[in-house]
Amino acid sequence: MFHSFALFALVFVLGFSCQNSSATDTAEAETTEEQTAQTVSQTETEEVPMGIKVGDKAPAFELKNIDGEMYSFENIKDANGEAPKGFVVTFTCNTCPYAVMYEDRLIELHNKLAPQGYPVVAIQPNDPEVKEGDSFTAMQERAADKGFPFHYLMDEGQVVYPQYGASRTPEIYLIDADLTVRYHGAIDDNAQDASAVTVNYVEKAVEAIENGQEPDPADVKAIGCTIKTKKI
Amino acid sequence: MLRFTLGVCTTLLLLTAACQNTQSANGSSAAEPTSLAEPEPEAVVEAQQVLHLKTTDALPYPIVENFDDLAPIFERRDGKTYVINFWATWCAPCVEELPYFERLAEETADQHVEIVMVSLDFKRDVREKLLRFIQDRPLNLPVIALTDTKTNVWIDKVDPEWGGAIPITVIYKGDERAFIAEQFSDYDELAQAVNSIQSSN
Repeated sequence: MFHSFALFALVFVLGFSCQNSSATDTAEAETTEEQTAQTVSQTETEEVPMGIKVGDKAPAFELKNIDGEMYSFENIKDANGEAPKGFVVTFTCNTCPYAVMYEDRLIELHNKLAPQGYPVVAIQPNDPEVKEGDSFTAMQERAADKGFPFHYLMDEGQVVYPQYGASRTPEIYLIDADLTVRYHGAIDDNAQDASAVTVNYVEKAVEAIENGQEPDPADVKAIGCTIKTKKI
Repeated sequence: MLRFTLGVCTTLLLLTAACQNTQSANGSSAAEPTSLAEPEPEAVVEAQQVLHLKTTDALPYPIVENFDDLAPIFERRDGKTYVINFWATWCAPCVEELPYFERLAEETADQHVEIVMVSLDFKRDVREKLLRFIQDRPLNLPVIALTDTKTNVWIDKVDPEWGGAIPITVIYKGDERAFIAEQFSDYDELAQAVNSIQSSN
């Protein structure tokens, strides 16, 4: 009894740490990840969704925007119509209160950073069959209501977020022109009160990249909503 | 079962009594006719502290502003099994799994199992929205409202595996520990997880 649970727990924890490898940055956690990768490769022959962490290459995607067009790193432009210097890829949705709290700040972020070459690229990862409020039509409506100045892409079939290892909304991956992840996690240090924010991690990270430095911190955790999938 | 029924009765009694008390004690509402249908937000006073944490003001649960004040609930070494769930009224999957924890409380009433529901409701909501939710349900489980916004600091202290999405559940007894980073799909899944920790030495 205990053994079977332990095994289950192990597999579960391993699976989880895999998906969230990008969210862990301690030495201890990285050791776990290495063990994870080994164990998984021994016990699983199926393709396992792997997360990415800061320093890794960002998985490519081609997703439908609310305007019906398909977008990828290849054809997204910055506010000047140029190839961006980076992408503020943000997993977000209509229905999570935390995501909603960040809508205005995400608009501001895009308006500030897109002219500098770092457009926000929002990706909606929830399964609309689980969360009706996150359907493509609902995304179009929300974007129109709020006047989203950025692309709002649907992760059709939920194929992109597992490759990133995203676990919640909102969750940010700041990706540079070489498609390397330079920062991951929270937008700023106060989700609940925009006026009480003391550090805007994304802006700070962009500043660091612009100055040829490594963003510090490069990974910041925050509370959010689970990405909604059908129970297997 | 008897204990549980008694507990529910006592709680209901307390809730009802508290409603009336606060309304008559509250200056502004004292003149209004007592209405049980629309209790005042601060109406419920179930003066019951949760582990080492005393309730906040007239609320039936503690509000904790600094995670360090909460941290000892993860470090108790008294032979009991602790089931600590992080949830929020705004989190649909969290609310979906509440009945499993309510049933667990019922089924383990005569065992050494302590259930703690740590609410991550927003600071602006912990005095009214959360209270209303607890009253309306009613939720008869020990609740602690954690409003520490330094999530980057304390998420790792709960578990380095945790990315920040809720619900999550920590189950531990002594050094035996399980971290479950997703919604339970049914009661049995929760019961099995608790049982494995509980039956360990």
